[in-house]
Amino acid sequence: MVESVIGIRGKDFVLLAQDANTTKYGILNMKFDTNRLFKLSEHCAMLAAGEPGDVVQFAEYVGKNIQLYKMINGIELSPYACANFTRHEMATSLRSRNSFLANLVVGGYSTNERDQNRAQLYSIDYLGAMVSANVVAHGFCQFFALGIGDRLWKEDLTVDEALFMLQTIVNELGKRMAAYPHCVFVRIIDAQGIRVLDNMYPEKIHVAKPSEGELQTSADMMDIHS
Amino acid sequence: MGDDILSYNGGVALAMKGKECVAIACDKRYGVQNRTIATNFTKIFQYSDHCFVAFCGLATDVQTVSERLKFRTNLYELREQRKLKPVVLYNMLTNLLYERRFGPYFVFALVVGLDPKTGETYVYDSDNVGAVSDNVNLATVGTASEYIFGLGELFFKPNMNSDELFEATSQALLNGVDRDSASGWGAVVYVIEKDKITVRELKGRQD
Repeated sequence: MVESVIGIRGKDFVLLAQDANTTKYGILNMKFDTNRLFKLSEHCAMLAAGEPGDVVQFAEYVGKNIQLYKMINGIELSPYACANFTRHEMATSLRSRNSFLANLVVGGYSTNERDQNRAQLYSIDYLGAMVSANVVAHGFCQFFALGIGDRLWKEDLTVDEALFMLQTIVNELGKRMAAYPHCVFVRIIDAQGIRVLDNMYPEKIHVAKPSEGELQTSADMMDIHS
Repeated sequence: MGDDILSYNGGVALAMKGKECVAIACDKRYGVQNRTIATNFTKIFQYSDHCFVAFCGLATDVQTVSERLKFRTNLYELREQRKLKPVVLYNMLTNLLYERRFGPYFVFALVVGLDPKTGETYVYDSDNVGAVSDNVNLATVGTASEYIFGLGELFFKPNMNSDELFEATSQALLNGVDRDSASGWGAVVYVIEKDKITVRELKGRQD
C-alpha cells in the first residue's frame, strides 16, 4: 500500500511512474532505487506493487510468457492483449493454491495500425479486475493521483502536460504522505518504445521558523520582581 | 474484503420487458469499497444477436464469468452452426455458475433476450450459484437492487412500446442509484427490438 505506481495516458504515449523506495517494518528505508517496471514487449510494460515476492514472481512469469508468445508466433502482443493475458493469469491464480498480492499497471503503445487508440493503459488489481482509464494508480498514492488526474487530465495531453501532472502528484505525495517517495522513476512508452526520463523528486517543503513570541511562557510574562 | 464481498466493487443492473422489446441497463462505476477508480465499467455483454447478459458483483468475477460464458457460447455456435436462443444462454449460464457450487463466483446475473421472429421476450435472473427464475417482467441485481425494484414496479406497465420502456428503465435506474453510494457515475441502456438494438448512454448525477 505504501508503494506508489502511477500511469498517465496521453496523446500517443503512456507515462509510467513508480516510487523508488523499499521500506521495511513500516519505518526503515532500505533502498532508494527499487525498480518496479517489468518489460512485457518492446512497446508494453507493467508496473507492479504489493507483496514483494509475489510482485516479482508474477511479473516475471507474465513477462516471460509474453516473450515466449513473441518467439513462437513472431508478433508482438498489443498492450490490450498483454493486459488481458495478465488479468487472466491473475484471475486464474486467485482461486488456486498460489494467489499473488500484486497490483499492476499495464501500459503501452500499440503498433497495430488498426487500433483506434494507440496509447493503452490498464489497471489490474490483485483480484484480477481490469479497467482502462486515463490516469491509474495503486496504493496510497491512489487517493492523490486520481483526484489530481480528474482535475488536470484532458484530451490530447502532451508529454509536458503529463509531466506537470506527475510532478504535481509527486509534490502532493511528498507533502502529505508520512512515508514519502524520496525519488520517483519515470518512463515513457510511445511509438519509439520504452524510454527512461529524468527522475522526479518531491518539492522541498518550506516551513516558517516559529516566532520568538512562542518561546515565552505565562510565567515569563509575570513580573515577579516588582 | 470488507463484510460483504458482493458490495466490494458495487454496481447495479436492471432488466424490463415491453411489448416485443426488452431493455437492459447498468451503471458504469468501478470502485473499491468507498473509492471510485473508473467510470467506464459497463456490466452488460452480448452473446447473440438478441441476447444480452448483465453481471453484477465482484469485478474480477464479472470479467471472468463473462469470458468463460463467451468461450462456451462460441463453441456452441461453432458446433451447432446457429446463434443462441435466450433460454439456452440462460441454462448455460446457470450451469456454469452451479459448477462452482461450493466455491462460487461472486456475481449475480440477468439474462435478457428476444425472439426476432415471434417477438417473444425473455427476462431471467440468477443468483451466484445458478438458481433459476421464471421469465419475469422486471429483474434487478446489484448493490442498489432493492431500490430499483421499488421504482421499477412503480414505472412498469404491461405492453409498453420501446420509448416508454426506455423511459421507465432509465428513470428506475437513475433514481435508484442515487440512493446507493456504490453505484452510479452514468448508465448504459440497451433497448432490444425485433429489428434493431438501441444503445443509449445516460449521464446522471456524477457521484
